This record gives sequence, structure tokens and C-alpha cells, in this order.
Amino acid sequence: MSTTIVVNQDVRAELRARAAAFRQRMTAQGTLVVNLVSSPGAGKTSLLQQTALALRDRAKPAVLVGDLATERDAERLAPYLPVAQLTTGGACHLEIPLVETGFDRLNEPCPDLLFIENVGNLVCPASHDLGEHLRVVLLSTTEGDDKPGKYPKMFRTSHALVITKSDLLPHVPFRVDAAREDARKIQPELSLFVTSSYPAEGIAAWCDFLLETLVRLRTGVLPPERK
Amino acid sequence: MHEYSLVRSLLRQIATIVQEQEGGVVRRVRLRVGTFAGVEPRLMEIAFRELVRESPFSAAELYIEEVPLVGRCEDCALDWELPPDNFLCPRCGGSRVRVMSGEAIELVELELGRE
Repeated sequence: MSTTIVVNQDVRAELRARAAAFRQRMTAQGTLVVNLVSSPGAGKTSLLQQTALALRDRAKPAVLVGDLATERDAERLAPYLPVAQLTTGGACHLEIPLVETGFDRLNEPCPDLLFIENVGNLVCPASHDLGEHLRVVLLSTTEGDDKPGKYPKMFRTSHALVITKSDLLPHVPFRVDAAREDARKIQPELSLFVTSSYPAEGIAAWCDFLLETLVRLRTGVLPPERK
Repeated sequence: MHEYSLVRSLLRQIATIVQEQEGGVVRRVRLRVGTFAGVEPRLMEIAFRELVRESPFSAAELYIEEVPLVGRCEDCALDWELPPDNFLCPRCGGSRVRVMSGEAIELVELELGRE
């Protein structure tokens, strides 16, 4: 004898509920949570260094850094802003429980901006809600302008695209227009920023976007949820 | 490759349901996986086969049904199957599309055997 139990529930329902609760808690305390995703080496850590420098005196940032095994990124960021390291033990993406415990270890309970530097990977992190308000995908000019169409889920679920390493544009066959067009076919509402970290360029517009989003969050206007 | 962690979530979900049902042997697990869920069904099966052996549901078999990515244009009401790299409406060019299916990883039902 057997019985069929109808469930019809997403496998990620439990983790998504925890992520939604974390987002709500951050909204209530006025912290904007920004999940930074990209392939390895796109420049997440460098962008964070430049962002922390540019935001100095204007906002209080903090960062949770995901890494497979080492603490190298946390060490690079510690001179710039409060950091907590999230070691995934080899996992290819972050999940909300790691973010929650990382936040509790952070030496800053109420930052204006909480960055989460995800594990370098354009595939798996796309499917996991970390309780962020904004998902920001970085694409470096050395990777090629055809990446949005190859990793559509990541671009579809993001709010902004930051093109990094713009200083190398004269040396690589990367067309900003092509990347923009490719990405906006997948996510028409994507905001676009073109930046370089060495030397720092385009950082001001990116920081203005973050601060404007923070102000809106505090007046009760949240970015649309994208999953 | 995050299929292993998704299968662990699935096994926790199954454990909760079995507990609510006051036991039983899980024979079949039916999943619906969207083509835009960010999951590879074949990898999901491999992860399931490996992880289920060490779970209390080692007799369970996994059946996966794939669900296409379907959108509805909010401007002209067209329903169509989306290619993953283009969410613009093929009829009116509109960019306001509501995704109707293809993004979920859903536990549909469990078949429980009773002694």
C-alpha cells in the first residue's frame, strides 16, 4: 500500500524564507545589502577597496567576504572597512546561513551598506538568495562582451552591471555597447556602470547609485526582488 | 556545482514531511525543475543517488520533470517559450515580461509506502 503526498513547494523555500527575514531585518535597521557576483578575477575586491575609499565620510560600509579556503580577500579589505570572512569549505556559492553567522561576527552591527563578496562563479550564486536588496554583477573587459548571453541567469537576477577594468579597453576586443545590449535583452532594467580600479575611474557614479538606493530604502522604496 | 547542496535541502524537506506523516518508506520523489532554475537535472540525479544512500530514505527513487521557461508579455499578452538569452517579446518588442514557469525547483509529491 502506498500514499501520495502532494507537496508543491520549492526546494529552496526554507532558505528563501530565512533570506527574506534577513532582508527585512536589514531594511528595518536601514542597512542596504549588496551581493557582488562575478567570475573569479573580475575585480570584486579591488572595486570594494575603491568603493570604501570613495564612500569615506559619506557612509559606513562593511563587508562579508566569501572564499573557498583562504582569507586573502579579507586581509586585502581589512584596512578599508570592517570585514568578516565566510569560508565556504570548498562550496562554489554562499548560502544565507553563512551570511547570518558572518554578520553576527562583524565588528559593525549597523552599517549603512553591507556588501557580500560572493564566491567567484557566474553560475551557482545566481540561484541563491542571500537576503540582499541589490545584486550586482561585475564583468571585466578581459572576459569578453559575450558573457551575459552565456550566463543569463546571473544577469537576469541582477539589478546592476558593473563593467570593470575599463582602463584595458584600448587593449582588448571588448565592446561596452555589445555587452550592454546583450545584458539588457536578458534584464531590461539593468543599471550599467563602467569602472576601473587602477586607476580609479567611474567609481563616483557607482557610489552615487548605491547612496541613492540607500536613501530610497530608508524612505520605504525597495528595489524590485529578482530571483 | 551546487546540486549537492540543493539535494541536501531536498532531503531535509522530505524528512520534515515524513515526520508530519508519522513515518512511512519513501518510494518516489517527484521534482519539477525549470530550464531556467540554474540546475542541471542530470547532476541533480547523480547527487541524489549518492546522498540518498546515507539518508533514511535510501529506497527512494527520483523522477525529474523539466519545465520550459515560459513568459507572458505584459504589453501584448503573448505567451511564449523564452530562449534563455532573450527576454524581449518577439511580437511587440516589449520588455515587460512576466515569467510564468521555468524558474522553480519544486518538490511536487512524495510516494510513501506503508508496511
